[in-house]
Amino acid sequence: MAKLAHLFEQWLDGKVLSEAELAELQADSEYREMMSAATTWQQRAARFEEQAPPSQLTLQHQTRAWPVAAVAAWLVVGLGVSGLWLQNLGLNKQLSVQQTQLAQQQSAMQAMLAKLDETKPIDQATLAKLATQVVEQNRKERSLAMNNLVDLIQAQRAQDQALLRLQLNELAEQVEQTPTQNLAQYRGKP
Amino acid sequence: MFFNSEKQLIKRALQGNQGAWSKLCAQHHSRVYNQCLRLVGNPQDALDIAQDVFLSMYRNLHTFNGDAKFSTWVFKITHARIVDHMRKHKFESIEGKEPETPQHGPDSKIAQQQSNEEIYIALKQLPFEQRIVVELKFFQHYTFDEIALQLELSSNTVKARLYSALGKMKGQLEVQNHG
Repeated sequence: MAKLAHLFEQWLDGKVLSEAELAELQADSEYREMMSAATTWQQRAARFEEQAPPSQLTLQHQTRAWPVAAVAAWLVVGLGVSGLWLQNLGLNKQLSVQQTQLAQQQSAMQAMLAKLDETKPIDQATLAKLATQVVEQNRKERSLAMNNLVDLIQAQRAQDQALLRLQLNELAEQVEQTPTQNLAQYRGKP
Repeated sequence: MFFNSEKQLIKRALQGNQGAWSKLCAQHHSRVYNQCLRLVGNPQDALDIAQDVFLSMYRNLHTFNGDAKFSTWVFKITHARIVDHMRKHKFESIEGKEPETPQHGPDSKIAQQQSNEEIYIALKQLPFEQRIVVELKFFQHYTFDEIALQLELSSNTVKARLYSALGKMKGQLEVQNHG
């Protein structure tokens, strides 16, 4: 009996028994029934399909989800920060370009103003000179015109004088050629 | 790979490494859940117990000294939580609750579910102390000495409980054969 119990324990513990040993066990009604029952349980165990734990039983999933969520959050934050940083970098670049352009424009304007300041006295002198020239020119023109007028008047007077002389001469000739009687008669009739 | 061995995983989990803890859980969660499912026969209760097991594991990981296998330590916690559950519910989950109706699906799935249900029912026929021995012997393939170690019983007690469980099967098999 002790041998059968030992054989049965070995068989249950997975040891491979010889044909003779198995026959010995099968020969005993008690062990045969227990072997049959054990075989049934072994078959049931083999048939049993392991069930996937429901999603609630996910301590490991939850703990796994936290790092994933943390990594995702870090990625989002990182992307956001890097995006902002890049945007800021671009803006800074544009700002520096604009600042440079502004400085260049400022310096150019200052240079122009300086040049204007430099050219202002020259312009004033030129203007004064021009005005003087204009005044002088006007004066000259006026003087010329007056001279021309005087000349014209003088010429006209000379012409008038010449005409009057001619007329007087003609009258003188006429008087000379007229008889004395006629002249006396005329003298007698005012 | 950083975590090749269970010892390294445990060490890193104790240092607060979440990844190591997740891997430890992943290695055992299916076995723990299915063990609970077979022993209580109800998915919701099995889920509750399995969650308790993992919480206990998390709280007591520092007490694992590495003398025994980690799976043995996990089983001891599982066993303790199942016993607690049984006490709380005064075995009503075993005696009172009917197995849940399998969900509709393909025929093979339904057949598999039915097969599992038959196993739950067969296990429910046994007292808890015999059921746990049957579970460890036939579903987890432990030797008598390993079962004795896990249940902190003598080998002879384990054998006696198993033989008693097998003896109960005799009547059922006879009914099936005559039916």
